[in-house]
Amino acid sequence: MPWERLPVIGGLLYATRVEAGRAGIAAVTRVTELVLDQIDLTALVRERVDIDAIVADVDIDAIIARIDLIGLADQIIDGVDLPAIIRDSTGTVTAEVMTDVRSQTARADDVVSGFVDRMLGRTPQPQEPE
Amino acid sequence: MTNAGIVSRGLAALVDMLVVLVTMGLLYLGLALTTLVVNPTAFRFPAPNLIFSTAVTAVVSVLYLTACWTLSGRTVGAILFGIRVVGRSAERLGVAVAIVRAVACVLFPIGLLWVAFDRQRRSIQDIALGSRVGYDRPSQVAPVR
Repeated sequence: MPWERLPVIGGLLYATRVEAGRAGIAAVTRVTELVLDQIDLTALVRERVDIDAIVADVDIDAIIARIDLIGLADQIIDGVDLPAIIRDSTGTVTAEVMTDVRSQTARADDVVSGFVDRMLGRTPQPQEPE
Repeated sequence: MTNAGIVSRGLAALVDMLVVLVTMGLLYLGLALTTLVVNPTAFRFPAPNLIFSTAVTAVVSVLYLTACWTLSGRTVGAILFGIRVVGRSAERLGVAVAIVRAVACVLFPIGLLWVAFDRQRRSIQDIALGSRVGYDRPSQVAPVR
């Protein structure tokens, strides 16, 4: 500004202008913040902006092309201990099947013993406890 | 240890027979492949005679049963049905007793049927050798893998 080149008061005028500018910006910022605080921007965007139209324009293929999908899959697979899960589940299933088979055959043993005992007219003899 | 009955023991014996048959099949395949390698031009599938095959099957069965009974008291069939062959005081069978019992079981398998009629569920072989076959259930505590 030309008057800031004036002797004696020029410097003062310059400093005042800079200070006034700063105070102005601070005041506007504060006012804007206050205004924004009062507005629900999310609701406003939902109401005023056609988000579907924006999303429709997005090139998802390009985004996917930028992602290292294989690397991502590897990371996920590394995080999941698949062999342990398979091992645990098959182990449990096998154990249950084996226990079932064994108790069924043991029961069948008792049925046959009981039948033979009755057939031969013997009093059924209890087996020794396990 | 409760003595195992005829159903468990019979089914275990059937599984063991299957194991022996599979072993025999593998041996036959090995023999055929060896013949093919040695003399590929005049190769024919070997046709061993009945006596030879029966003798080899008996020997394989005796070896299999003896090894299983002396090492752990359990054959494959016994593991499957949770039974175990032990001596008079629940100890593992010695090699001599195991061999005699295996030979007796192979030559006189019908002796197993006595399990159904004996009050203590013993086969003829068990009565003769003082062995017993009981339920063996560690798998109820530790899961089978």
